[in-house]
Amino acid sequence: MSQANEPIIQIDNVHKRFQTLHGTVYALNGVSLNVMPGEVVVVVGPSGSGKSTMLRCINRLETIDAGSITVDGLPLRGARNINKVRAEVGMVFQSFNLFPHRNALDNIILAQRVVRHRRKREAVERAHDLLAKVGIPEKADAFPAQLSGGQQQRVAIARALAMDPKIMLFDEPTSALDPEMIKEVLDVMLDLAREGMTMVVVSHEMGFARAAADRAVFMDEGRIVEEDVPDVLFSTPSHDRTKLFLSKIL
Amino acid sequence: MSEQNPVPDDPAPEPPDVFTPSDDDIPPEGLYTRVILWAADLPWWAIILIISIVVVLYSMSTSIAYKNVTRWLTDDPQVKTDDLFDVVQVVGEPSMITGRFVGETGDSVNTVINELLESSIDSEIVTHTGFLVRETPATLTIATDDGGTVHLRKENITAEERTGSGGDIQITVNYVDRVTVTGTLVKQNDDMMRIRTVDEEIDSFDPARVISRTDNADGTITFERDGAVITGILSVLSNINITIKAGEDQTAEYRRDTLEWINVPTLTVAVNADANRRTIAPGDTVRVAFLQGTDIIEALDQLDSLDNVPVPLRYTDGSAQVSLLPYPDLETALAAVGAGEADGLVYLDAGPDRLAVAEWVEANPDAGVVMPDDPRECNKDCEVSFKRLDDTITGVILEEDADTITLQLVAPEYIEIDKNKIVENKRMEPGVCALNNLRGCNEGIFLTLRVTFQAYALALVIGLVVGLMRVQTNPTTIFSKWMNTVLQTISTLYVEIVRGIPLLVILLYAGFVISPRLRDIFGLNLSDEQEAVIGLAFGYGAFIAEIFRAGIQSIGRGQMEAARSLGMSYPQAMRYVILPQAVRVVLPPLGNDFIALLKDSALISVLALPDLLQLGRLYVSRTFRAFEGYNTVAIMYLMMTLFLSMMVRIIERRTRLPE
Repeated sequence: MSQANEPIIQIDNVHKRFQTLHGTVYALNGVSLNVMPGEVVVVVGPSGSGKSTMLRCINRLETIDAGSITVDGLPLRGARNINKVRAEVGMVFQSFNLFPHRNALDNIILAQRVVRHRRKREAVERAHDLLAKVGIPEKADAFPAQLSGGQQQRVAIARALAMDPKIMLFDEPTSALDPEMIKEVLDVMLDLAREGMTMVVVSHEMGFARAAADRAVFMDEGRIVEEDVPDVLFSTPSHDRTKLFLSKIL
Repeated sequence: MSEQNPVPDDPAPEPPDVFTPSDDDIPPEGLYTRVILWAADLPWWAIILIISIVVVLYSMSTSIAYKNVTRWLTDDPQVKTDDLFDVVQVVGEPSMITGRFVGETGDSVNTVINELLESSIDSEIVTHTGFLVRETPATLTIATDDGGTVHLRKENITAEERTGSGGDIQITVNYVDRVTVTGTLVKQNDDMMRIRTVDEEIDSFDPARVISRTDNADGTITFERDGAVITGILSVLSNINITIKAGEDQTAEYRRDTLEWINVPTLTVAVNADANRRTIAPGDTVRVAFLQGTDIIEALDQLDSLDNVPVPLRYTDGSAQVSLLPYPDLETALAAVGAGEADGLVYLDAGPDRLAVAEWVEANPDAGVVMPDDPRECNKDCEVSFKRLDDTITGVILEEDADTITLQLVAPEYIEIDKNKIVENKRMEPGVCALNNLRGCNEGIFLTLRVTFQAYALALVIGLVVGLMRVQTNPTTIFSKWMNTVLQTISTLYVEIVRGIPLLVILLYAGFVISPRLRDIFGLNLSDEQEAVIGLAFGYGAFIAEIFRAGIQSIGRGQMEAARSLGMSYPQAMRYVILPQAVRVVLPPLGNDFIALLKDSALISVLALPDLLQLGRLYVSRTFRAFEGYNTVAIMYLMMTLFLSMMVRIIERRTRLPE
């Protein structure tokens, strides 16, 4: 397996295009990115810049057309059992995607039982621990429809953590939330970052990036335009495109 | 926790313009919805209990109230409610039975049974002692002590004891004698059956027809009756029979030799003997004599339809003129024809005088009048009247008033048999399916339900498989992409083809095309019921596949992605995440399809299956009572579908997710 000084995610010159009715859209145009174990990387960029696509390529929710991605030493292309890779890579979605027919506890238990084949008692115990960790131990029996957005997103994070992933991918986890609820989710993510989890976060939360991220990446038109320490990138960007973007969101 | 909302001592009055939601603001729900909601909150055992109550009510369906309702619905039922079953029971008992053999018909020996049973049912086991006269492998012949001879079948002997030897064997046997009871079961309990062996016969008639009445010694009364006069529309007239339409869709047939007289509209034509060969030239006048008071227009119409119209009466519109000459009576009219005043006489009468012309011509051969053809009786669709011969009738008076006398000609006869003594049950058929005899419908209802459930189960499997095949997946390898295309093509073809063919045609295919092929090629013998199940399932599979496809696609992509991102395989994600949600979405349309399938199962009657509709049609064809027959069928289907749609609603409600 990977050593501490080797990147846990290696993205090398990845190209991805989508066929649509109006022609071909080039979502990724030679993206290369390495993420070291324990590193927290924040990806920013305008919509359509390929941030989410890159994230989804890391656990092969999208296939790539050229280049290579290696996760934890396993090349994704042609991987016989992608499910093994995915089990090591947790993902949190913008729209939570909790399973609405199961309560919070069962949402967290399901994949543990089905994928990890844990015993029921063990899975329940883990689920309760994680619910306590994300701060809503009392909502174990609530169905997703009975939870607020922030609570749902925290259950979704707990669900991903239940698989004991080595990497966590966050795809705009706070974009669909009321401003009041954003903080409770970011707090959980901050805790996670402090514990040394490897995280790739697509987000425009500059506060979170400054506080937790080791690196910030700016993407545009399917390319990585520049990357740096968050403070540096956000305050003194070197590219005009970055400046333009930052001037609009800050 | 308990004191969450302490009530202030002096609560401020609420401002009236503030909206305060209360129960009153929610619009009241309809009765049906309330019943559904109420039922949905019941535990399962309560629902099972309610179903049992419904079943009990159904089985109580012979009550007076029920009878009244059905009488109202069915006008006048043809079937007696107490006719439970047509039965043939063989009763036997180890005993010696003496009976007087009166006679027997092809399938029953009713006359003798009464005596036999009376002597048999209460008797002890009687032994029969005598000398063995002859023995074959199947029978014994015994000379009894009292001088008689009996032949016994060995299979009926329960015990025997022999003493002596050679040609002088003393033998004692117990044997089972059997009688066959045929009739209609009217009542039964655990111990006995009451069977009506002779049906009651009743006749009602007008007291005005009575010529004389005689009281008989046995309490019956013999009436001498004037023959009834019957009027109706002629349906068939032959030399032997006359058939009339008595009512709507009902016919009555009478032998002509049982009738005193018949009045059928009869067209008689007589022509002047000299004019018989005259040729009609254009411009000629044809003089037609007729009798005042007879319908000459109708008579000419009928004349028109004849093939061989006598020459002087044949005229063509526009080329010959017709003058109609009225005469007061037949005598003068015929005399005028004979004298040449008229070319011919056309005479239409339904009364007793209808053959008077023929008689007159026969009586006056020199009058110069000839009849070119036989008098022509109307043979269809005209009003006829006839009188039956006088008769005598004997019976017990049931009811007598100024308008009617109701006489019981034959009293019903009943036999009660001990169930323990029934040796063989040869036949036990419920009566015909009718609203007042629902037992007769049971077979049809069960067949309908059985076929529906089986077909639906099969259709669900087909639908789920085809529906999953149609769902667009996200292929990752070339092979899976290729596989995906093949499966999608097959499933789309199936759905489009089957949806485009009427279900009836599919059923006929299953019954008459697929099934014979399977038999020829694979030697697979499908029953009619299996053909129906396969046909219905194949037809409905397409609709259910579309429901499943829509249901699965209605679950957002994110659910699949979330499940896959957790490391679940595609089947696992389907099984644990997508399908449980899709099922809730598809439940209402699936329920609707189930009800539609139940209704469409009526189509299986084309495969000669005795389903509910077929039984109803049987009833209609037997009794010509379409109203009652199809009412029964419609109400039965309605009861089933209402019940099922209620169940669907309840299931739907119970599987709903909390909000």
